[in-house]
Amino acid sequence: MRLLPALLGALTVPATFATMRACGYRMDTALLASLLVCFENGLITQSRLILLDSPLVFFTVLTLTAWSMFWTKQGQSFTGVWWFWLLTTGVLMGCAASCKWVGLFLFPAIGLSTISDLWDKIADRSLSPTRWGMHFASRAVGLLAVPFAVYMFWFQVHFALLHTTGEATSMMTPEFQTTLRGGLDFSTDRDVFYGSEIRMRSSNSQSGFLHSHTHNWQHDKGSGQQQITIYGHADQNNIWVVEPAFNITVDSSLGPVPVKTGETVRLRHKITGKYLHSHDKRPALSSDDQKFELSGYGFPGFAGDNNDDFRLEILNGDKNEVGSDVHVQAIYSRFRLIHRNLQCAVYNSRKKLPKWAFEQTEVNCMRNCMPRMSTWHVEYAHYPNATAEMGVRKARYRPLSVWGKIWEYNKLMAESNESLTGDHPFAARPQHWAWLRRGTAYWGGRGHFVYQLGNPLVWWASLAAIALFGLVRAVLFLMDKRQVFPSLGGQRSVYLSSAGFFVIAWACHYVPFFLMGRELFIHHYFPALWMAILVLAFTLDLFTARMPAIVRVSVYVAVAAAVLHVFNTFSYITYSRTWTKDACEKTKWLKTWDFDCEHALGG
Amino acid sequence: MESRNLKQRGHHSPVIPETLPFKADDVAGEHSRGAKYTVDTLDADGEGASSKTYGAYPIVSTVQRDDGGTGNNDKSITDFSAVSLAAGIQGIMRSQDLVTVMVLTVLSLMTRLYRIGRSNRILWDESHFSSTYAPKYLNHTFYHDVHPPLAKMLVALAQVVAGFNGSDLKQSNKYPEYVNYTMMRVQIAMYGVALVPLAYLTCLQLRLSRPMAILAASFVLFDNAICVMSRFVLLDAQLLFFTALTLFSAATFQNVNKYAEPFSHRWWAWLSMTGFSLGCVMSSKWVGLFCVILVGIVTAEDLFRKFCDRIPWEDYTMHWLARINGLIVLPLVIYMACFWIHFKLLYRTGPGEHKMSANFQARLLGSKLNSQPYDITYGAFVDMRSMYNGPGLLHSHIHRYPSMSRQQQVTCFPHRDTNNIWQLHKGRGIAANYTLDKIEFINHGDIVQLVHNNTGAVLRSSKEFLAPLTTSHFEVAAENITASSDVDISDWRVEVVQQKHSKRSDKRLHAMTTVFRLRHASMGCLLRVGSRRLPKWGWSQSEVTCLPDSTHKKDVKSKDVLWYIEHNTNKRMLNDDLSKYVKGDFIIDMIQLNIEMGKTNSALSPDRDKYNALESDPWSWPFLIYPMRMVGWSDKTIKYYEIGNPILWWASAIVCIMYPFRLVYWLACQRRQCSGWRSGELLELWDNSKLLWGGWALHYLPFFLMGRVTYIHHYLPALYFALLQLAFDLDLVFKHWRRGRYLRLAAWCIGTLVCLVFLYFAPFTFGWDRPAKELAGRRWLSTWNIYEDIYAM
Repeated sequence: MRLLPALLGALTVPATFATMRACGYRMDTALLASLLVCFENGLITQSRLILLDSPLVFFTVLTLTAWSMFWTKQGQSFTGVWWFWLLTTGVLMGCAASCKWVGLFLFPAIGLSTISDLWDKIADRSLSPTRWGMHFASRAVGLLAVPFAVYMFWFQVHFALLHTTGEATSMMTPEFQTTLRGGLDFSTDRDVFYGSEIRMRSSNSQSGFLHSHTHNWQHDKGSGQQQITIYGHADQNNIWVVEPAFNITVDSSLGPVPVKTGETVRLRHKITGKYLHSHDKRPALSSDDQKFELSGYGFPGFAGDNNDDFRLEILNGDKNEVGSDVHVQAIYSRFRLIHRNLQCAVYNSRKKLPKWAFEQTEVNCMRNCMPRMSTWHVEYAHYPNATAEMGVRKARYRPLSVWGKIWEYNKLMAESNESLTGDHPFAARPQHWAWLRRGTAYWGGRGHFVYQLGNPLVWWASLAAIALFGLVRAVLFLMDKRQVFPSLGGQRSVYLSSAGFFVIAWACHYVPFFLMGRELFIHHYFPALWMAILVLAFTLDLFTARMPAIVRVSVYVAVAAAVLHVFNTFSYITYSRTWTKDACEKTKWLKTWDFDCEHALGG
Repeated sequence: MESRNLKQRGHHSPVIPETLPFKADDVAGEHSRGAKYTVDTLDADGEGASSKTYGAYPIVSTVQRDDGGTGNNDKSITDFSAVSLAAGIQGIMRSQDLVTVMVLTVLSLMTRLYRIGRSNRILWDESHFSSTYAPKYLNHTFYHDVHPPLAKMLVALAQVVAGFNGSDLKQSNKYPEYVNYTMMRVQIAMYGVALVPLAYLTCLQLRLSRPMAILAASFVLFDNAICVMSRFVLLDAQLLFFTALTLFSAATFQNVNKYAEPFSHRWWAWLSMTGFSLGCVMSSKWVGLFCVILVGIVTAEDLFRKFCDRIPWEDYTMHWLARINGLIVLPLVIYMACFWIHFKLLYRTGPGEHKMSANFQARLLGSKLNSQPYDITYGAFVDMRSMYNGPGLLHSHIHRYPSMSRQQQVTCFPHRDTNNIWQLHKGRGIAANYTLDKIEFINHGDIVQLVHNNTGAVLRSSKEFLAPLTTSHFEVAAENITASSDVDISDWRVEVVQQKHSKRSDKRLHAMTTVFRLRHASMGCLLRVGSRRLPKWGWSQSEVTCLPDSTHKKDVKSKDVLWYIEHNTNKRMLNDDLSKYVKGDFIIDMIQLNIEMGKTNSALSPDRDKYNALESDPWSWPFLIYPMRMVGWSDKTIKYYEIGNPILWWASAIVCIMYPFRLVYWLACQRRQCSGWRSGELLELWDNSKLLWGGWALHYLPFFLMGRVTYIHHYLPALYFALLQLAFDLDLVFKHWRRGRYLRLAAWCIGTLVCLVFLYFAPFTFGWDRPAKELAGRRWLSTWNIYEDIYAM
């Protein structure tokens, strides 16, 4: 199983060579670049384990290879080979984005170079507007539509493969769950009458049922009355009976009376007989004076009071179900419950209660609540006194379409991505990546261990190459403005265009991480690192271009030898070879590299 | 004349440099412009009607006149700037403009002052600014607020003029009889009044034609939202005024800089004026910083162009220095001056003082720290604060350490609390009656015991017990002394390190100004607090330890072992005024206040689950989705509704959103050389509109990144720019269309329409005292809560 990532990792080396050649560099520079990529310890560690990052780096690299190839075909617009490379770029981009969202950073990188290309083409008056429009459209298709289709395709495959319910099912909405085999597959009585037994679900994605049980709120902070919570699983404690408001009777002798919007109702907990109740007490997890505790209140022989009364307001119904915006219909009607005296809505706070409330979700009554978080629907309804001639109508969730499923799934991915705020000991912030402040310990055994650390020489030199490019670009820009045009030894245009593209790509794969609050690791830098390595190769070429061949070759050999030497030095932690404590300590070039030399043998 | 121009057109000069943001494909653009005016002149005579021109409507006649007047045509054609100098500076203002400005001012006065004193309620945020903060300047009590002081000080000024005595209006929702609130409102409204003529003058600087400049002013005049926010004692009118003043000065300076001699008197005057208004706008509200950014970007572009122009290095350096002085130093000085006056005026203790340092509080007249005995004696009750920033005051409470000595915890706690009070006793074994015995001052080298006032426990440390977190130090605990009175673990030697503010180098211990160490008498370790926090059992308070091994470092001066007495209670001594002894540093006070303002600002975070009819999200502003009720909505109250003039809001939103697309289109056309644009013209267009669109974007887009609560009136500064941009675009369209034939007519029609819509919504602006239901027909969007609120419960 480790073979596939390793193979993909290995393939990045020839892909590097191809990219260099496509960028217009000589054989020796291309070889050197491939060598730098090949002997990068961090990339090696990455590809030797079953992780998602190896495919991501592979597809990122291949996308840029294809994109460089596409650029070599600039003179042959709209020919077969031109289309081939354009579409290949698109497909590979789609694949990269489907591995990890980091792949999406390819879009700004390639997008910016496309925009600048199209902008240059505008100036070309030999190009007719129609022809320019075709250029524009072909890019839109190849670089936006195709990747999007590929992304969708992989999701289709995902859903096709994972068609049964699993442990993550409960994170999805009921509409999503109905599309899974073994997921929610039921129907319920549609109409809700006075006297119906219902189960009410909070209409958010991570939702649950309005719940109560024979445990009470705390006496010191709360009222000490029975707890009301939200609980994710359907059980008997979620069953409530709809009753008319306090001191109101409804005559059901002529048949069941449906519950209408705007009517005031009471909800009786079926098992304990307590009414859903609210009063001027702060809820368990909030001291906000706009929020009130919900409790179960009542005892035998007590008729209740008007603090049990809630006005039911339907917010929206289902377009295909006539009357679902007037009469409460299971599943189809989405409504709010507003406490009659306090004018607050039953509100899902999404906060977890402490152990004494079994870590269920808090629900309270909130004034001026946004409807989004106070919307409920009936998921199960049953009228006990139903007679045969009533002709019970059924309701069921409408399964989500494929688009709906993909949309919901991606939304959930974004949410879980945001909530990845753990405290991993080897997490690293982006400002520490580029200069290789520290690595990641993967695994440690007796005498040997795996510690992901890059080849420091390659990291530092590539960072320097990028800084140098920035400096050169700025100086050239200012000199141009003052009408001085240095040619950089004839390498100006090839250096500026190739290094320019890859520096922007590097920035697109690096800078956005600074804005991310989630937990990050050094392996997030690898796509950017590959681009930086290419810039390093470009820079070496720039400096050696005008040198005699023999000098140039010896410089290259010296660089390669140095890189190999450093690679060998750090290969112990890459391949978990056994080494001595002394050698280990000596290798700690920076104090912040925290691989564990205590466990190295010997010494 | 014409032949010369034709010759000029054919002449391509390679020395004209490329200028950003446009690549000058047409390097002769500037020259072509010079020619164009003359062709226009011919147009006016009906001779060159077929020539393709871009008519600069009002400038034409001026050029003609000046050309004729000076007769210096050669120069004006070879050196375009000379023509422009004439056209650009002298041509902008004419005597007829004075009449226009006066008419506009009168109209503005009418809309802003009409029935301004009608409601005696303390309306909307008047409850903050008019009745809470501004009176503080009148009675000199210190307060804390998120906004910088200038706008509030102007409110206070208005209150002084209105004869207000600065009494507390916090409790009431109406102005009492004796308050001349109308006079206050009138004065604040003047800033709003000035906005209208300023808009006109700004548009002239941006080269709008006169009819369209008047139209732009009437947009500002007839926007209901700007009008209603100018009619109350708030900060928005001042902010808008200074924003408009900044735009006007920046536009004028841009023209002067372009066409007049650099470093002339006029040049310096307008540079300073820009800097001055920047200082004022950022001292009114922090959104003023967006103006600073706008001017900064424009200045950077200008300096970059000058760099490309290869002007001499001495001049170029001078340009930089002038900008740094005028646009950075001057505004900063004004900003600081406002705070300086703020501190000078607020010299009494007040509700906001706890945000400031103890040093600052001790200088506030009447504060707890200001009024205390200066000398410390045995038997005094003191609060001791660590010099180390953060932990706070030496504290103890009945909770015990879970391990080691298991005695009462000693911590540091940032808030005032009776558990911070310690009584200073004489060393172990010396019996003393602190209420009767002779008063004895504590001096350098004296031995003291610290007795916790609430629990009677004594501060102690011993070698047996190590500190809970920093295990290389000894634990510090409080213990009832009787149990182990034979062991001298509770004696501490006072070592005065610094007498901060007294001139004599005395040995005596003083409140606030003496910095000292407490050295354990037998072990020699030092009472210390660092940044480490105790876990839950210690209530996350800071760990206090005894730093050992101080023998070879006798004179430790790191802040973690230094303390001072923040408050001293002693019934046998008279209270002193500590401001005599405590000296402050204005810069430090100001920085601290600004940091606290920032903290308060970010604490204003909204509850996303809560529906608040007053708040609205930035995306909704340009489209006027959620106007805001400014008062309670019962049938009898005089109701004010913050709603803009919808057609102005919508049209200006469309124009501003389209602007970047249009710009790209123009640039693309220019690159293809397929339009009538020449680079000089496009550059002119860019120069005249960049301040407007840039101002809109900078005053609007950053709100999307803000976490704090946002209200619809946060859009008003952006709206001002947008309204001018709208007029600018109308001007552009009608200048082109039939060569300006319908420009005047269009201005009249649009102006009338805008005025009618303004009047239609005027009941919301001037107050409506009948049931809101009667205005139900004016609900153009279903989200406008004119009479019902769909989400309200």
